[in-house]
Amino acid sequence: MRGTLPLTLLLACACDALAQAPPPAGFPGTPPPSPPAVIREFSADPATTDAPSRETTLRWEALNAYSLVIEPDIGVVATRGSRRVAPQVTTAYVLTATGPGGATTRAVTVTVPGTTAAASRQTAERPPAQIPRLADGSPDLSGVYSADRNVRLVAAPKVRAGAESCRVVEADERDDGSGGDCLPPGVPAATMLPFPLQIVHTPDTLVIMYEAYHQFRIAPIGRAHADYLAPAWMGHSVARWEGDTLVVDVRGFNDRTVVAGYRHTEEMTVTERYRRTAFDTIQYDAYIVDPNVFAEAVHYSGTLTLHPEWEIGEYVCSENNQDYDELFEED
Amino acid sequence: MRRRTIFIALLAALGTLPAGAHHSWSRYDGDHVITVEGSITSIEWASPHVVAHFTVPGDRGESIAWTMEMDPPTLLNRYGLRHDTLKPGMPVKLTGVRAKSGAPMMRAVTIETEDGTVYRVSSRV
Repeated sequence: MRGTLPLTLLLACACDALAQAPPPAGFPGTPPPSPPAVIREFSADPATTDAPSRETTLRWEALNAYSLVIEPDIGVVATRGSRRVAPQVTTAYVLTATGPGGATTRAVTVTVPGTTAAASRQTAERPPAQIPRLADGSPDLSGVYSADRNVRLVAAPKVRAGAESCRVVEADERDDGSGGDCLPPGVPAATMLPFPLQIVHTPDTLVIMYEAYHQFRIAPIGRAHADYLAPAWMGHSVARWEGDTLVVDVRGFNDRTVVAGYRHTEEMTVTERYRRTAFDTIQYDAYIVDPNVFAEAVHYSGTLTLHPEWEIGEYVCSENNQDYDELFEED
Repeated sequence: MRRRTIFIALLAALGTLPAGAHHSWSRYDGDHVITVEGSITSIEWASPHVVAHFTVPGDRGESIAWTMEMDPPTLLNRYGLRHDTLKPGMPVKLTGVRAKSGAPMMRAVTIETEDGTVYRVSSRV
C-alpha cells in the first residue's frame, strides 16, 4: 500500500533535504459556506428550585461553534457540559454560541419561587480580566491558545540569489510533506496549524505543548544555548525577557521541515516573540533567518486566542495513517 | 548531509521510502464543491483523519462505494461531532471536494444528517 517519494523530487533541491509541503493555507478553491452554529441543548434541571440559593444543573451542547458563553456569572464554557448553579432570584441564563457560520443564542430561566427576575447582566458589565502575573511579576503566558490559521506571513519571502531551487514544488501530488508521514512540522509551523497549544509558564521555564503531532518544546528562561545542539525537528529553545515580551531563540534545527514554502538548512534560526496583550490574547511574531536561503528574515505575525475551556486532545498521528493511493485510483 | 541525500535517493529508487499518506488536499479538486448523498457503512474514528465509508446509489440501481476524509477526532469533537454521531446505516448528505482522478473519494467539509443537522467537519470552512 505504501508508495515512494519521486526520485527527481529528492534530487532537485540544493538545500540537500527531503521535500516537504508547507502547512495548508486554507480551502483550495472557493469554500462552501460555513455551517451555522447550533445549540442542541440548553436546559436547567430542575427548572424551578425550592428556595433561593438552592442548586440546579444547567446542561448544554452546541455544534459548529468555536466560542460558547453563558451569562450571567458563568462565562466561557466548552462545546458540551454541565454546571451547577444556585441563583438567589429567578434568573434567565443565556447561552451564546459563535462559530465561523455566525452566532446563535438560547435562554433558559431558572425560577426561584417568591423572587423577582434578576435584571439581565452581560459580560460588558464586568471589569476586564487582568493579565495574570508570575511570582516574579512578569506576565504569565500560561493557558490553552489557538492561532486557528490567523498567524500568517507578513510579506512574501525574499530568497537569496541561487536558492530558488529550495522552493517546495509539488512535483507529485503524493508529496504530502512531513505531516503526511506524521513527522513534526517544525517551528513556527506547529503554531499555525488548526490545533491548539498549551503554554505552561514558570519564572524559569516556558513549556509549549502542541496538540498537533503531540510535540513539545521546553525553553529555559535566562539561559544560553548549549555549545552543541544536535539537529532536531523542533529545534532547541531558550528564552529571555525584553520588557513584557518573552523572546524565544530557537536554533539547532534539522533541515527537514519547511518555512514559508521553502526548504532550509541547519543554519536556520527562529526568533519568536510572545506578548500577552490582554487576558485572552497573545501577540505572536516569528522571524526566520537562514542565510543560505533567505535574503532577509521571514516574518510571521498573528494573534493567539486563549481558550480556557479547551484541553489539549490526543492526536496519535500514526494511529490510522493509511496510504490512500488505491482509493484515489479511478476504476 | 550529501551522503544522507544519496542514501534517501537510493531508498526511493528501491521503493522502500514511504510516501506521505494524508493531508493531501492537492489530490482533490478544490475548484468544484460537490454534494453527495449516501448511506454510512463504517467509520474509522482515528487520527490523522477520521475516515467514513459510505455507499451511493448508481444510475442503474447499483451501490457505489465511496470514502471520505474529515478532520481528526480532536477537532471534530470541538466542533460538536462525537465518535458515535455517525453510525452505519445512517443516511447523510456530504459537501466537499472530490478526488481529481474522479475516483469515489472525497474530503468532506460538512455533513448533513437525516434530521437536517449540519455538522462542520473541516477547519477550512
